[in-house]
Amino acid sequence: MNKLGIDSVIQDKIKIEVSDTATGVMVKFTGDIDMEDPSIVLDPLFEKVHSGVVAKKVPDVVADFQALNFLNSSGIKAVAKWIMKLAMLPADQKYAIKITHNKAITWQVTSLPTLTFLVPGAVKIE
Amino acid sequence: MKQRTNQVDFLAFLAGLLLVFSLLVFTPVPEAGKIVLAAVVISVIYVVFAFRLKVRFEIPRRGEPQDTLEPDAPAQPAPEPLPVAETVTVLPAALHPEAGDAELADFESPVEELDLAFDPGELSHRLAEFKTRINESIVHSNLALAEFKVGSDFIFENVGRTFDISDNLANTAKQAFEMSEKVQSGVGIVTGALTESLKNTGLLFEQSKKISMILDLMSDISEKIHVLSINASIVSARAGQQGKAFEVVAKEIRNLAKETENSLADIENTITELQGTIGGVISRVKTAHDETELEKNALMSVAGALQGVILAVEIIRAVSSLAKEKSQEQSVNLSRIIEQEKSVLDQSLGELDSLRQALESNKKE
Repeated sequence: MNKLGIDSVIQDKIKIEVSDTATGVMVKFTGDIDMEDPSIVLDPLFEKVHSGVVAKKVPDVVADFQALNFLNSSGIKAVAKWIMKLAMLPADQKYAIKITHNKAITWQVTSLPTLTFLVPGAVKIE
Repeated sequence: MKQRTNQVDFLAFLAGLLLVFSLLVFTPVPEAGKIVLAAVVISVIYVVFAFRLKVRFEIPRRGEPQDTLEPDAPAQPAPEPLPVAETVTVLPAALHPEAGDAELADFESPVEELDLAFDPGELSHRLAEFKTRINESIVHSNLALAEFKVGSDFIFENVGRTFDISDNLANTAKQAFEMSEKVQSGVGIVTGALTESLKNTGLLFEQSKKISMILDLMSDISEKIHVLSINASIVSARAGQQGKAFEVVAKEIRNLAKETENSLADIENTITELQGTIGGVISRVKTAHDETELEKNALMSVAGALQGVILAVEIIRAVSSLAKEKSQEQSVNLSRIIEQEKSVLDQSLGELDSLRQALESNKKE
């Protein structure tokens, strides 16, 4: 179990795992997010991650999309909503988000870097 | 208080007149003496009341010119700046209780230290100036707030436009993505057909090879028939006259074998040409198949990129939507603040007006 106490989520074709890293936590997405309303799954998960990270003062979160083959527009909306919560935090509570993506998957190359503009300096991509 | 003072003065005057009358009538002095005495008493009464009027209606200030003694005289314009508060004991010695007139002293105001800075007229004037300044500040403030609101509304409108543009862009990207998916599907069908064609032409080539093998067999048979016909001719020649009929048959068989061989050769040539053609078709079909396979992969990349654009625009829409809500909220808050400020300031100005009127009334009294 990770330091935030969040269980893995397996639904339809998607699997989301939360694990600890040396400096924080990692949220790994595997499979496809193509259900009609992924916010039912993603919003509560991101809320738990966000509030847990703030409460435990975790300095950074890695969002690993390398194994995510497909993400629909509702899914990216949920991801953007999570990142915009980071923008609302006071400076002393802000944490860093590092997005890892797969350069062989074209939609990742086109869309994920846009997320870095939501909170400049706090969200990076690699 | 003022009315009572007037009454006291009138009573005092009557008392003084009565005194004079008493002196004139009852005092056992000569007529000339009575006249002199009456004149003295009347003079004293005159001086006393004149002094009282001067003290009551006008308080002289240090270093300033004396104003008129008329209580109804119009107020002089207040000098600038407001003088330092000073105090003066107002009770004249003649009216001191110890001087004799105890009744007057009872109705006198107690000795007070009056604040010389408290001038109702000047305060009223200053309040009017203050009100004017407040009005000007209000006007400037309202103008600034109105400009701010205009700016806020402008931002709201532009955020709304950005939202609409991003909405339109998202729809366009979505349509392009759907088209690319259709094209991708079509290319997939073509690729499938080409693959099938490739398979069928391969089968065709195999079948032509089988035909070629059969032709080879038939050619062998024909060759053997030819050899047999030659042998038959030899045997018929040995048989002499009796073998001549057989010679004819052998000859015919030989001819047939030759024609068969010629036909087989033609068929073999045709089959060879067919195989060449089939080979060419196979090669071209394979090339087309490989190319469509590449185009299919490229289309998948385009679809992926379009999908990425859709997702990026979705992010922009999410941010625009939030900005639109916040700017609308701010615009509503600004309007509310302007209204509240206007209400509070109107109220304050009303109170200032009331105060000024009260002061002016007080001053007139």
